[in-house]
Amino acid sequence: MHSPDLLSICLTAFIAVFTLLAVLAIVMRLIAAIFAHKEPTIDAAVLAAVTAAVSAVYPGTIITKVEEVK
Amino acid sequence: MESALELLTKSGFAYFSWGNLIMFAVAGILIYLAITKHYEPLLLIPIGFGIILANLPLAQMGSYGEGIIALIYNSGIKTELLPPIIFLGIGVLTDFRPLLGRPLTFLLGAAAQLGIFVAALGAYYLLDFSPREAASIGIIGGADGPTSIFLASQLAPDLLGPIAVAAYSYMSLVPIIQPPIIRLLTTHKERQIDMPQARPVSRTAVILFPVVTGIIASLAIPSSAPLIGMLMFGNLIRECGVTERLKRTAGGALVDIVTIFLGLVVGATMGAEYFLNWKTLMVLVLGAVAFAFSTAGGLIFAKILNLFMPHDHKINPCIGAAGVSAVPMAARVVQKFVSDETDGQVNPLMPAMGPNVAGVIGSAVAAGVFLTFLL
Repeated sequence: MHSPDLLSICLTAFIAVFTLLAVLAIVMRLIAAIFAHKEPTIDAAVLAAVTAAVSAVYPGTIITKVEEVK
Repeated sequence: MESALELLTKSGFAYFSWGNLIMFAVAGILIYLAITKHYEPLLLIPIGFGIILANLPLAQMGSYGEGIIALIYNSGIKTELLPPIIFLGIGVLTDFRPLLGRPLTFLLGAAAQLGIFVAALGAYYLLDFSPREAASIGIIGGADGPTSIFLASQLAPDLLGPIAVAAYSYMSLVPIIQPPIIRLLTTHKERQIDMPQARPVSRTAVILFPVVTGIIASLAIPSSAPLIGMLMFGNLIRECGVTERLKRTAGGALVDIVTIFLGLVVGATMGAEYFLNWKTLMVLVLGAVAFAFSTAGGLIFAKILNLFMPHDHKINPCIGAAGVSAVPMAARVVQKFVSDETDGQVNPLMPAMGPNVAGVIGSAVAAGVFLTFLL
């Protein structure tokens, strides 16, 4: 029976793994760029309420960021 | 009295051999390690007990016999059914965001498959294993139990037991095997490289990933489709957000049931007559070689990448070691090693998860290529 050349199979397999994962890396980088992550915007009413509440306790404070943690 | 003697001659004790006793000791070691050291207990307990069952003379509880275990073996392993279902569960349980936020780490997952090919070539050229056996032994370096079982059951069913035991044993020994290799191949300065946080990934990209990967990988290497396809399906039901019940079942009850069957039948392939030979010893040695070279492959490739990276974007090369799969153990080992070496200043757990999960895809693809050429 013809014995397969394992050296060339291993080389091919290693190159195939590298190539396929490189292609996936490029494709996913493109997808991530096209569908970029957007920072969630805070509702204007919520921002106004938080600003008013904090200003009442610490007058003159400027609210620069309101983050919602679920 | 005569009936009692006849009963004794027809009992398992009359056929019990030294080989069976040795296999009981092997089973005892696996069960001991699982219970006292917590080494892969979900797999080593069923495998250990499967070994005991397979070494009960006349009981017909081996995978190659005619009893109920053989029924599960023939319908679950020979048909390639169980390993892909485990991959479905892995897909549900795996968060690919660290990989998607840093796509370069896909390449580290590829480089860390080096040990597969080194061990396969060593087995073939130095130890006279057949090409099919050599490829099945090499895949231990992928540090992925279901992939090892999937490939060995098709290319070298006689070596399934030793290969599965080697794969799962070395996966559990990652905290012992990897740190010396990482220490040997990295400098103190390299270990101190603190990588910035990966960029956040949108929900759309996270949902598209399993679909795109499933299609591209399965078109490129169709033989890898049972593993990659199920892995990506599992990940889709995890991320889509509207299949909570499927996610719960696939990542919970289903994967547990299949793990029980898989562990038991793999253990039950290890009857003394199949396990106690020089090939088993060679498989264990080659498995260690495969693991070591895979660890080194990921590390060295990270160092090569660093030659081309701008100063503020260097990779901590230690994360390359996590490319051997063994999710999430290898990433945790890298995290602990680097954190200990830098007095807690550098903590690369999330960067290491990237190559770690890429390694799962890499080893499944390597198995698919072997099947394409050797089946």
